[in-house]
Amino acid sequence: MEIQNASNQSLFDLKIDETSKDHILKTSLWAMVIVVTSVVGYILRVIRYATHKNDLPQAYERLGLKAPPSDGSTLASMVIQILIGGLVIFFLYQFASSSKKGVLNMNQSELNRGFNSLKTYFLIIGVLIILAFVFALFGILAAGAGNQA
Amino acid sequence: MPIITDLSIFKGAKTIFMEDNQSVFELEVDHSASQSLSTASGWAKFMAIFVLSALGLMLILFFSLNKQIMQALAEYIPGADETFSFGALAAIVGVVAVLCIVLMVFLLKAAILIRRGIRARNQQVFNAGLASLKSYFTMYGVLSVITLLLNIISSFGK
Repeated sequence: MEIQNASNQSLFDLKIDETSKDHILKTSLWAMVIVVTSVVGYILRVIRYATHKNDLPQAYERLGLKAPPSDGSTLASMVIQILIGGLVIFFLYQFASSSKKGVLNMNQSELNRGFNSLKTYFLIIGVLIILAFVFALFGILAAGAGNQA
Repeated sequence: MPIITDLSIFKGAKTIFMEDNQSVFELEVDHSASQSLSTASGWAKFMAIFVLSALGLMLILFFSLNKQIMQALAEYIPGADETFSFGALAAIVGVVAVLCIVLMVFLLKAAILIRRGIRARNQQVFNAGLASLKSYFTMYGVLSVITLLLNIISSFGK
């Protein structure tokens, strides 16, 4: 009876079967592609800023647009974006590498670490979305209050 | 016939096999993995619903305020009204919106199915969720490669 109960419990647990392994491996492959393209994108951005920062005001004038704010705030905003983006990408990288290792080496704790990183990745994005929404709402309310005053 | 009632004799064997977490048994969605995946699904669902709602709102605003948008474009970018008809702009916006919607639908489906699969301990539903998650990351990966290539061309093509 006890052997039967033990085997019934394992029958009803979710397994990482061959289909799941295939999906997880392909997911981690594409997640790694996203990590690489994001890192290259950030590097390009920094190079573009470093090589063209003195040309920016003239470029805007040529297009007939208002020149951007001072150099300090543009640099600060770029650094903040890269730091936040980098943090998100780091957890995606951890998910990609840990889950791949876990599946290929049949290592449960490595796989769990990968899933934990995936959770953190989506959690950070969710928190950023909430923060962006709150700031946008405050901005709209402030603009509305300013118009009325 | 001897009946084994005490399973503790097998615990030692399991400990030996599981010592360096390399199991001769299958990988499974244990308590830790199911908690992580459930939480990830929750946040992924929130993200998908939020983005879809925001997209819908933006599309409604875009089509209802088309005259004001074209006026603003003409004001800020000289020659914009000659270069862009509203139709061309709407086509670009439409393509971007469709891509975003498809991406978020994959993510929403993955979030719902993974969570449902874990709660019901249903292997098929769980695998279907993983398949949707794979599709989400595949599409996201392809779009990010295309975006990077366009970025490189615009940076170094001048």
